[in-house]
Amino acid sequence: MNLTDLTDEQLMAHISNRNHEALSVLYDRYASSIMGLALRMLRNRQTAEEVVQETFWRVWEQASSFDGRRGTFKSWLFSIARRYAIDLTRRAKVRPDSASSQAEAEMMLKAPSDENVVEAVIITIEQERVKEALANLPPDQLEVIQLSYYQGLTRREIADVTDTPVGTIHTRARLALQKLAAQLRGEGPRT
Amino acid sequence: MTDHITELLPLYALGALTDEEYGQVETYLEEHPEAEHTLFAYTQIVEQLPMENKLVEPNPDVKKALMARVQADLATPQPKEPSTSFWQHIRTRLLAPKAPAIFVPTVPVLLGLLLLLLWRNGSVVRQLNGTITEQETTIGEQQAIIAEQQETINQQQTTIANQMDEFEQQMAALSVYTAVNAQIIPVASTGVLEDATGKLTFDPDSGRAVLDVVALADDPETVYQLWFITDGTPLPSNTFDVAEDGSGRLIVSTAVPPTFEAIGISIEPPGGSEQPTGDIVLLGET
Repeated sequence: MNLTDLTDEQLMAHISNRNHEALSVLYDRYASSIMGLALRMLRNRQTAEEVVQETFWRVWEQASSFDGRRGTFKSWLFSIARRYAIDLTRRAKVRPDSASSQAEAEMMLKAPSDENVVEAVIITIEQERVKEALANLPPDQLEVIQLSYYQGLTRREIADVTDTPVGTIHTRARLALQKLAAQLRGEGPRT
Repeated sequence: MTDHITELLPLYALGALTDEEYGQVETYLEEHPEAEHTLFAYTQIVEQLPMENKLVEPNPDVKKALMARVQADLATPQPKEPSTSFWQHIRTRLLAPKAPAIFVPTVPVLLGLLLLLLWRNGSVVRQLNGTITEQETTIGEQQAIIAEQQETINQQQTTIANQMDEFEQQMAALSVYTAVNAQIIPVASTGVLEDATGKLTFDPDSGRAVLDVVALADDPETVYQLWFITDGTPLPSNTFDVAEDGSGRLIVSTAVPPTFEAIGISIEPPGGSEQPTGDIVLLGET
């Protein structure tokens, strides 16, 4: 059995049975994505790497708590990474360093190997698609996404920061996700 | 209330709720499983948000450190966990976000390592105790063997010493026997022990003498004593025992008078006497 051929959820079943090789496969599959997310949120390479390690440690440690009916592994994985990164931010542990400079950030980018060129192209297309979908959101809806997802603010904190009623935040969040869903399905921008 | 909870589903997917609100949503989802579908649709969108970020390769040491932690965890006996939603909630919603960043993943590892260390230490101590006991037993046995061997050595040394004494006596006797001016004075039975006989070999140059006797009685409660008789007066010399066959040899260590007219051997109490007290069994004249 080649573990690399298994789906995320199948690998999680193996991890629940304490198969460390399955964790290694998932790490290779998602570590760069988690690193990119953490770096975006923290702007500090060392702390972002801490997020990567702790995220996958929790995947290993909490594998039995993963419930595929509640969402995909990918969603669960990124939520773990986000929560950890947000927690670090709230504890003011992270101070942006020179890695925030564009030059160094470029040096950090994952260089695709020859055999991964196709995969890298697909990922790039996916990146552009998500970026475009986000760019097409109305600013107030995009703001809710940014403040919640990347800065870890709660709905009430977002309401305070934006001086907007909580109910309006609910609406903006729901509309933002609905529009993103439609655009990512290829239905084009709607306002 | 129900309408309010469903409004929270997008924010649940975005991670923009408080711990209390997460709990409320999860309780609602347990009671309204049909809402899972809506939430799943939201989470599918949210999970694509990180895709806008560029892929960045972490340092290879990150994976090495992770897998080392995993290996350490694998080496730790796993306690069975209750699979209740409460525990999952505590672990995923309360413990992880609130605990210190380093503390959260470190506590179970440290506990695991502590248990492992305690378990391994206990095992090592037991092994060491067993080894020490075995070694103490071995040392005790070896000490007994050494003591036994030491006793044998002592006995052999005693034997060697005795043999050396005998050898020296034989050498001393030989030197007297072979002396150029050696004189032999036969001694004969006085009748007390009829078959008893013997001789005194005397070297006037060195003043040394050797007495050889046969057919005396072996009595452990008495000794024989040699006397040199000068001017009718017996001068005490050494005492001696004989073997079971009645033979014996005395290397005379006391001063031998320059002149004497006779020698006698009497039966005396152990330690000898100043004057003859027992029977004279052998007598010889010069």
